[in-house]
Amino acid sequence: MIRIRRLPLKKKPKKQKAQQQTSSQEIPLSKKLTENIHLFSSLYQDSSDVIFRSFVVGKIDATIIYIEGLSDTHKLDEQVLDTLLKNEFKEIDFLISIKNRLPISNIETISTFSECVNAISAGNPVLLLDGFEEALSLGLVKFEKRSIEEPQAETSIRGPREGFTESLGVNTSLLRRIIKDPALKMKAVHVGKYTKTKVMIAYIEGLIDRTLIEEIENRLNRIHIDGVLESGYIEQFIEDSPYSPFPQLLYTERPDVASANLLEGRAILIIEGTPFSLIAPVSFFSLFQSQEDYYERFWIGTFIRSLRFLFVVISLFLPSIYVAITTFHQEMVPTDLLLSIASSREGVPFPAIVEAIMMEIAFEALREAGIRLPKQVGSAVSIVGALVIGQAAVQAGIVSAPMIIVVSITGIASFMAPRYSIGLSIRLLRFPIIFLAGFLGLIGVMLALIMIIIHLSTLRSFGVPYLSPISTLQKPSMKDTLIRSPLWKMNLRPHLTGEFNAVRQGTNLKPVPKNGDE
Amino acid sequence: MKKSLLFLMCFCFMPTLTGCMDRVEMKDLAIIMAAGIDRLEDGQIRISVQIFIPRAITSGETGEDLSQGPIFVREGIGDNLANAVSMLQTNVPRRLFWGQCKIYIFGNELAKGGIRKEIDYLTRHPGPRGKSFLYVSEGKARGILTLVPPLERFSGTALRKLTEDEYGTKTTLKDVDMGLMGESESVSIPYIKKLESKESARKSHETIPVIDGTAIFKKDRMVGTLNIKETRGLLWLKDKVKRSTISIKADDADGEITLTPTLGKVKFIPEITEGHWIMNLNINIEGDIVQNETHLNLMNEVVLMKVKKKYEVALKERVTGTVEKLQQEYAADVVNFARRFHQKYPKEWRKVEDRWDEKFQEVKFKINVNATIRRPGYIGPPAALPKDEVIE
Repeated sequence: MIRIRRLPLKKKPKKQKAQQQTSSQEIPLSKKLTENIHLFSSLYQDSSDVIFRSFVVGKIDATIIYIEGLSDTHKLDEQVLDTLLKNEFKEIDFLISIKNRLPISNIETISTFSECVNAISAGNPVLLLDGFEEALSLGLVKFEKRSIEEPQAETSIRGPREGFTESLGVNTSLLRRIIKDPALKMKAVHVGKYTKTKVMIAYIEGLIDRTLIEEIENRLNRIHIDGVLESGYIEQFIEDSPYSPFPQLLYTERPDVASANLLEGRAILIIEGTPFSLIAPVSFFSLFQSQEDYYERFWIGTFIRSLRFLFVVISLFLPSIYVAITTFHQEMVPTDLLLSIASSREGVPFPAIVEAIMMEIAFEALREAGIRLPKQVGSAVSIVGALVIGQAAVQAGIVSAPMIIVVSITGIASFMAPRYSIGLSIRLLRFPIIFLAGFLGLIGVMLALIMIIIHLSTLRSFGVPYLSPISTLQKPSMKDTLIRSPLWKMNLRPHLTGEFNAVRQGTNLKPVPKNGDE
Repeated sequence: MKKSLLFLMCFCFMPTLTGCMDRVEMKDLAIIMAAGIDRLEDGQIRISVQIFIPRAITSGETGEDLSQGPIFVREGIGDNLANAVSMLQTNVPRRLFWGQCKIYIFGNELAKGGIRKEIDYLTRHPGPRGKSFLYVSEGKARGILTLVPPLERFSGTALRKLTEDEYGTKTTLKDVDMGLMGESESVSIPYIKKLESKESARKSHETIPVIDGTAIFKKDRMVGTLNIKETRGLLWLKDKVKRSTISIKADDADGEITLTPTLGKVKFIPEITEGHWIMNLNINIEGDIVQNETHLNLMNEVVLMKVKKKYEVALKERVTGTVEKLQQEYAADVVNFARRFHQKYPKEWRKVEDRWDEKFQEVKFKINVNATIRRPGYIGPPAALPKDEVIE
C-alpha cells in the first residue's frame, strides 16, 4: 500500500533571516586616511585588480582607489593626477577647491564606506584625503562594451536598426534620444546582493498610473537574490502568476518598441547587463503585435495580424485535430482526403498519437539543437533533420506523409508569433493537447481550448486583465487588437489600470487633400 | 499542491477510461464506399459493400491498376439487414466503417417488396449518414457495385457525382425517412441502371451506372418509374433542374430552337373553391438559347417573344405530363401537394387525411409558366447563313 505523506497542516512561519546586508559598511569614513585605507584593503583583500594609488597633494596624503579596467586610467593620469600634483590648493576649503579645479564633469562628494564601495565597483575612482570625513567619487567610468547593433531576436524590414546593448547607460540614452520630453522618468532600483544590478524603471509622467510604478517598485524591492544575470530573473520574481505557461511580461530589444509602450502608458524595466528590457503590464493580444504592424500601412498591418492569429491557432491545435480526426472522427474528413490519408497511413506501424508525439518531439529537438550548436554545425543539423524527418522516415514507412506535413506546418506556424515567449508557451501547450486529442478525440481538443481560455481569463499582468481589451471590453482599444486601424483613427490610449490620460492625439487627423491648404 | 496532485492523477488515469475504446486507427477500418441491398429469391436480405483498399493508391509514382480499381466487393446474407451486416463483418478482417458511405442502392425486387425495415436499420444505426444518397437499381444492386468506371475510382463516386450535378432527383436517407412519415407518404428515388458500354476495347463491366429515371414509392413500396423526360418534369417541380435542354418548334420555320433552363422557381398555391381542390403551379423559368436550327433571327424581339410563348407551352406540357402520370397512374404524391394543402387548409385537410390517395387523384392543377429568355447566345442571327436567307 502506498502511503501518501500528509502535508503538515500548519505551515511553520519561517523566520525571515535577518538581512545580511553589508551594514558594517554603513559606517562613515574616518578622518584618518590610514584607517580608511586599512578598512578598504581588508575589504578588497585578495583583489589584485583593485588599485590603491597613494600620493601627496600639497601637504596632505591622498589615495585614489579604482578597479582596473572599469575606469579611464588615461584621464586619471592626465586630468586628475596631473592637476593634483602640479597645483597648489588653499588650506581652507581644501576639498571644495580640489573639486573645483578638477577637470571632470561628474564629481560627487560621498561620506560612507558603502557609498565608496558602490562608486568603486561602478568604475568611479574614489579620491580619499587625509583629514577629511568625505571622499570624492570621480566620474571616470570607462569599460569595454559592445557597440549598438541591429537587434538579433527582433528583426524587422522597416524600422530603426538600433538595438539595446548590455550597457545600461547606452540603453537609457537610446530611449532619451527618442523621447525628448522631460516627462520621461527613470527610477533606479538595485537588485542582487552580489551583482548589485541596476534596474531602471522608465515611464512617462502623466501617462502612467502612479500606483503601477509603486507596485513595480514594491515588487522589485521584494527581490533578495544573489544576482541578476538577465531580465528573466527579474521577470520571474515579479510576475503575477508564476505557474502559468503564458508570459506576463514582454521583453524587447528594440528602443522603438520600448518607446511605443512608454507612450501607451506602460513602464519599461531596463536592466543592466542585458539588451532585453521588460515591458509591464501586457495583455495577451500585445503578444501578437509587432512594431511593423504600425510602420506599414494599416491594411497590411491588419492582414498580417489576422494571419498571425490564424497561425497561432493552427500551431496550437493542428496536430491534435489531426490525431483526433484520424482516430475518432473519420467521418468528418472529405472522402477523397480520407482515402489519401488512409492509404498513406497503411504501412505505418504506430498509432497516430504516437506518431504525432514522436514527430513533434523530433522537431523540437532539431530546433533546440539548431539554436545551441555552433553556427557552422547548425546548418549540418538542419540538413540532416530535414532529410531524416522529411524523407527517410516516410520512405522507410515509419511515419506517414500527412503527419510530416502537419508537423511542418505547425512548426512554421509557431514562428509566426512575433514574440518568442508566446511561441514557447504554444510549443509547450501543444503536447498536452495532443494527448487529450489522442484519448478523448475532439472533445479533448475542445476541453483543452476551454481550459486555456478559462486560464487566460483568470490571468492578470500587474492588475491588467490578460485578455483585455476583449474580456473586459474596451471599445476604443479594439481598434488595435484584432485589427490595426489607421493611425489617425486611434485617438485614445489603451486603458490599462487606474487613472490614465486618455486622449492620444487630435481628432480629424485623417489626411484629406483639402486640409493641406490647397 | 494537493489539488494539482489530484489533477495529475486524473490525467494519468485518463487513458484507462473505457471511453477511449472509441479510438480506432485508420488502418483498422474497412472504409465502405457504397452499399447495395438486395432481396434474394428465398426472401433473405443480402448486403454487398464496396470496400476501399488503401494499399492500391499508396504511391503516386507507380499508378493504380485500372482494371481492378482500388476496391473490392464483399457481401453478407441474413434474415434481415442487421443480420446480413453482422454476417458481412465476419467476412471482413477490419471494422466496417459506414461514415464515408454516401451511396445506398436498393435492388428492384426489394424496392417492390417494401424498404421500410431496411430504412429503419439505416436511420437507427449511428454509422450511416443521414445525408447519404439512395437509389433503386434495375435488377440486382450488387451488379452496380461490381462495375469499374473508366473515369472515377469507384462506381459509387461516379454515381454520387452524377447525382450532385442534379441529373436526377437527389434523394437522401433523411428525405426518404421524412417523406414516408409525412402527409403524402410518397417519395421519389433515382432509378439507376448500368450504362451499356459501346467501346469494343472495354470489357462489359467497365462502365458506370447512370440515372435512368425515377422510382416512385408509395408507402414504402415502389409502384413504378418515371422515364427521363418525365423525371425532368418532376425536377422542374422541385426547383432542381440544372443541366437539361428543351426544344420547341417554331410555327413558321423548319427546325427547332433549343433552350437550356438556367434558373427556375416554382410556386405552389393550393386553393379550395366550392369543394374543388385546385393546385396552382406558377413556374418562373429563365433560359438560354443554345441551338437555333431555324432561319429565324433571334435578335428580333418579335421572334423572341414568339419563341418565349412556345417555350412556355412546351414546359407546361412536360410538367402536365408528369403530374398527370403521378396522379392517374401511380396516385403517388411525391411533389407533396398534401403538405401544401395541409398548411393552408388544415381543417379541410383533416377530413381527407385518411383517403388522400383518392383525393389526390381528384385534385385539379393549373399551370402558369412564365418564361424569360435571358441570352440568345453569342451570335444574333443564325450562324453560317447568308444574310438574305435570315427571316426577320
